[in-house]
Amino acid sequence: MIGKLSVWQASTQRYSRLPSVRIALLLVLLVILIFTSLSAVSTGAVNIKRDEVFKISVDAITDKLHIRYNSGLDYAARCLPGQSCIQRDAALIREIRWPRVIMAGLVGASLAIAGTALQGALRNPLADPGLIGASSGAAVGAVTAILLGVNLGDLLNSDAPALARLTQSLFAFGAALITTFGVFRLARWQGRTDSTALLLIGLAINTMASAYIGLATFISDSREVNDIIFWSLGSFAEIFWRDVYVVLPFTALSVVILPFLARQLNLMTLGESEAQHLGVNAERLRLICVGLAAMTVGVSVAFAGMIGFVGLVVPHLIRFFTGPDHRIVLPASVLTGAILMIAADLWARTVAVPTEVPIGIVTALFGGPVFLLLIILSRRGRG
Amino acid sequence: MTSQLQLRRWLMMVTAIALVVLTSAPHHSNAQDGGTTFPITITDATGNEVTIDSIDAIASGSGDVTEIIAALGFEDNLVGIDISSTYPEGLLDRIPQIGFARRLAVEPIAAVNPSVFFCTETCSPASVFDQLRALNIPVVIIPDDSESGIELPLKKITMVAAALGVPDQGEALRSKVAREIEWAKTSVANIEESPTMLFLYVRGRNLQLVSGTGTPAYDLINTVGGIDVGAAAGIVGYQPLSAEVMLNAYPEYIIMFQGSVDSAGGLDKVKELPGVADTPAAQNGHILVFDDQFILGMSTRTGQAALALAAQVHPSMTWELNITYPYAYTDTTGTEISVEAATPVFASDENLLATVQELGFHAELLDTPVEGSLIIASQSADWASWREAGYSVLVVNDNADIPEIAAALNVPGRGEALLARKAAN
Amino acid sequence: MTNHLDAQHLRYQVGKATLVRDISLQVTGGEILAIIGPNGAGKTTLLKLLAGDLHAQSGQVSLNNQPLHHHKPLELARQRAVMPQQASVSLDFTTYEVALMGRHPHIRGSETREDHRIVEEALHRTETLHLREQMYATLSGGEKARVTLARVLAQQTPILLLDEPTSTLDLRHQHMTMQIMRERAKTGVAVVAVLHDLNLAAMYADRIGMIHNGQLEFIGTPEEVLTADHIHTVFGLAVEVLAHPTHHCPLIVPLATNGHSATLSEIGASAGRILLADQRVTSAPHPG
Repeated sequence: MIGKLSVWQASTQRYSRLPSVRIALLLVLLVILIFTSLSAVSTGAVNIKRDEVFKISVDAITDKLHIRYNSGLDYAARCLPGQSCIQRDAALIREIRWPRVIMAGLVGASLAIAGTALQGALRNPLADPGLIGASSGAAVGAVTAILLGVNLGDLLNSDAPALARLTQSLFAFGAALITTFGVFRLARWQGRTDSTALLLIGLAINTMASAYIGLATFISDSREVNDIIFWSLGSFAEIFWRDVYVVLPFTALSVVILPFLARQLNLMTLGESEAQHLGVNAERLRLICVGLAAMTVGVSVAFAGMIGFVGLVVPHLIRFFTGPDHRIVLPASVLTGAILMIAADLWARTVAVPTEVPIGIVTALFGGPVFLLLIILSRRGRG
Repeated sequence: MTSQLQLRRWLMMVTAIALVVLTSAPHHSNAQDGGTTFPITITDATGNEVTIDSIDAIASGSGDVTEIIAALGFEDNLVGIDISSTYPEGLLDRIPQIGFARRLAVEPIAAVNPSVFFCTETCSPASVFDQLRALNIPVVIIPDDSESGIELPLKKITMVAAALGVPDQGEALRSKVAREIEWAKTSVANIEESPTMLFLYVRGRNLQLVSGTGTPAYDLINTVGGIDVGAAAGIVGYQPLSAEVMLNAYPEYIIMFQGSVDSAGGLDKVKELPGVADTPAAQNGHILVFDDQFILGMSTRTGQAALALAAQVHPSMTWELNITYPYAYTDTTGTEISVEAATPVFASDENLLATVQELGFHAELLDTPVEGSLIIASQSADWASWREAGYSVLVVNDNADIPEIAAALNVPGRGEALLARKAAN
Repeated sequence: MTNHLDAQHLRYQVGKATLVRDISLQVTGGEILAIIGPNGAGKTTLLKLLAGDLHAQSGQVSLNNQPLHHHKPLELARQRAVMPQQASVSLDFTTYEVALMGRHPHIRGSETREDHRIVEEALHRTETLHLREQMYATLSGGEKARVTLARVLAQQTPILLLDEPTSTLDLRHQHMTMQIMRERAKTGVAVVAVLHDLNLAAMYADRIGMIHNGQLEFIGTPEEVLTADHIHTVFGLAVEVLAHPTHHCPLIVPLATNGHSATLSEIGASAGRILLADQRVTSAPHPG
């Protein structure tokens, strides 16, 4: 009886400590995220001193985010010899770097949390936002917009290039939702959704989508091809504050809602019926997870292009260190996804100045080997 | 026989290059000497009103624009250029690079601290322009449409000159380029043959595109009296090379970029490409390789490019091939003139013009001669002032006979032939 | 604890195959109902209908006089626990974490000391406490089954539905499992268990339902259901039904299956020494 009691106490200690361990880990990740963001904001083709970056950033925040796009703030176009460059630098940091870094963070967080939620909800560790058709659906939407030459600007009697990009983004978002729910609908059979069928149908849709994109590049002219290639490899080069404002609510929605479903996602690992026996409405849970994932990924892809591997690798990376409990994996993947994407984008835009490497290439370049390494290590860990 | 043909091609090439070197304008800095006061506000190709405060620091995102800026004498004002800015040569070694016209990013442009940024409608991504505007850097978009055809360089020049506040110099450059384009057209006007041609773009092993309507290549091919078989096959813009379409098109000449040939691993590799191998162009060695920016840049050298292309695809256009350049000729004033090349030729009067044209040269009546051109003048004309202005002037006797004119132009044989023909008539 | 599971005229078919035809049964707190029958008889389908995983085309299952689908999933999870035939976990959870999942229907916010105590106890009872730090995926089949049992016990429900809980277990753990069920039944829990081992059913079940071709052929006490006749009809196997030497229950011994029936006395003296002819259980008459 005494032995039993002490065993019980030991275990209880371990598990009651979990929340504080969780909070500590998240705090560490948060500090890394802030550090990475500041490094990213202080680095670029234009050389700006770090203390200046800090001062400008603090100013920007204390300005209560009075940052408006093309607002005619007192930015000097250029810094003349012998004069302070602070105004030019302020413009650059506020209008170019911060939105870019924040967007990279949002997209990284979106892809990572979507990947985590999908892997949990579909009980498939290989589930990836790209797998359920969200990414390729978005791609099809954007490519269609490019091919048809649809432009909101035509409706609004404006030919601002930003409107063309916004049109493409809306097409991408809409197509991502349609594709994902189409895949989801097809996978439903007799009132249930079969995960294997879902993944296989997603695969088929992806194949069709890439064929469509391939076809599109073949029949379009060189300028469109250029657009399509640029877009399908992903980039954060064209981000403005207005884009951040569009993506932010969608990412926030996932980041806020999904952690509440963490324990239910844990139960899903037992299997759909078992989760249901434990009180989980598996069908609804999956609908919420897939819906949120499609939405955040669709929006991300619409603004940043197709960026692979983040949604797949980040959840694995975190589980490797923390174990599979979604209560820690979900928030940690949000932060880690953001950190990695910001770092990847920093590398992408500084490694080959004056050109930029497409971000999709960077993530695949690093994500692939990391994924392989994780597989090898986890196998070895199991003995 | 074959080697002789090849030799002829080489000679043509050399001639074309000589032409190019000769007719390009010498640089002289005329920045701001028009006295225009900044700021200037202009409406650019996208309809935006752009206010330019200063042109002290110009960044150019496209090679064709760089060429025009330099030709207008603002080469020293350039603080950043894209990697397609290969002309004037050596610019890329001296001036910081800001990326590539089709893959621009905002920071490298901002890093060179420009007071104004130039690019064309086809520069991408277009959102970089918005980002630059957000930094209060004026962005001037130069037209790059497919509707203007071979006139496109003229539109570009006018817009760049306006933005730089030198409309007069712009007009001078514009008329020079217009005239060169016109020469190319007239030089092929009487040639009946219409060689079939095709532009092939190659990047590495996997990307091979054929051009059709709505491309600079199409406009250039039409200008030199050729038939663009890509367009004839129904291609709009660029399409991937298909062996069947290629065989069907049956081009006698294939135009390629030097960059394309290099990336494919040399001309021999290009000739082996499926579809290309079986064309008359590949079999007869008629793959014409040019510098990318020169041949299709649609900028200050487009007329020269057309002429160079015409010389290659019209074997009957051999009038300059029988002449060895340079040659020296002592004219009636006793001055020894060194003639680098015989075209274009400006004649001082109608009679002289007729004879020069009969001898197979492309000539115009002396009006506003272009820098570097050759003038043939009769003794009673105001040849001295032309000579003072720096032109090569061959002076012949008033009422000079055909042999004298033919001798001055270093084609005595052709003179005799012309005489004989006239006698026969 | 009022717990009453009532199935009325259940019928379930997939395509043209009718897996369950017109089955009615009730189970109340304090008893163990064993479901037996040959492979493909519809035992698991019946259990899934009782659990609410499947919905019958006609007939309905009521829990405490309310149709099953009127209960919310979480409410249902506090009423009944289900132990599946095999349980896999798609991520690397530890044994303890898997068992702790059984507490989900009871946890509001974060798990309490009480939750941990219950899980520890369940692991202890199923003799898997020593495995608690191990990855569930690395356990043997029998260990997994016991941990799953611990998870089901931790759910602390008045109704337990078990699908072949003993099939992967060694002999001792088979009996351990059934003893746990008996203990639970004693506290008022209603247990429905699909079993393969007729003797296990005979020893521990209060009632046995014998299913054949989707129909409930016989239901009643072990003595009523487990007769040589019934077993021969349903399983197609000749058996001798004897009296258990120590428990008051039938003991089924299969006879040779090579086509001819043999009596025990013919098989061997050593067996016959204990199992005397006069101790044979007389066959109960057919319920219908």
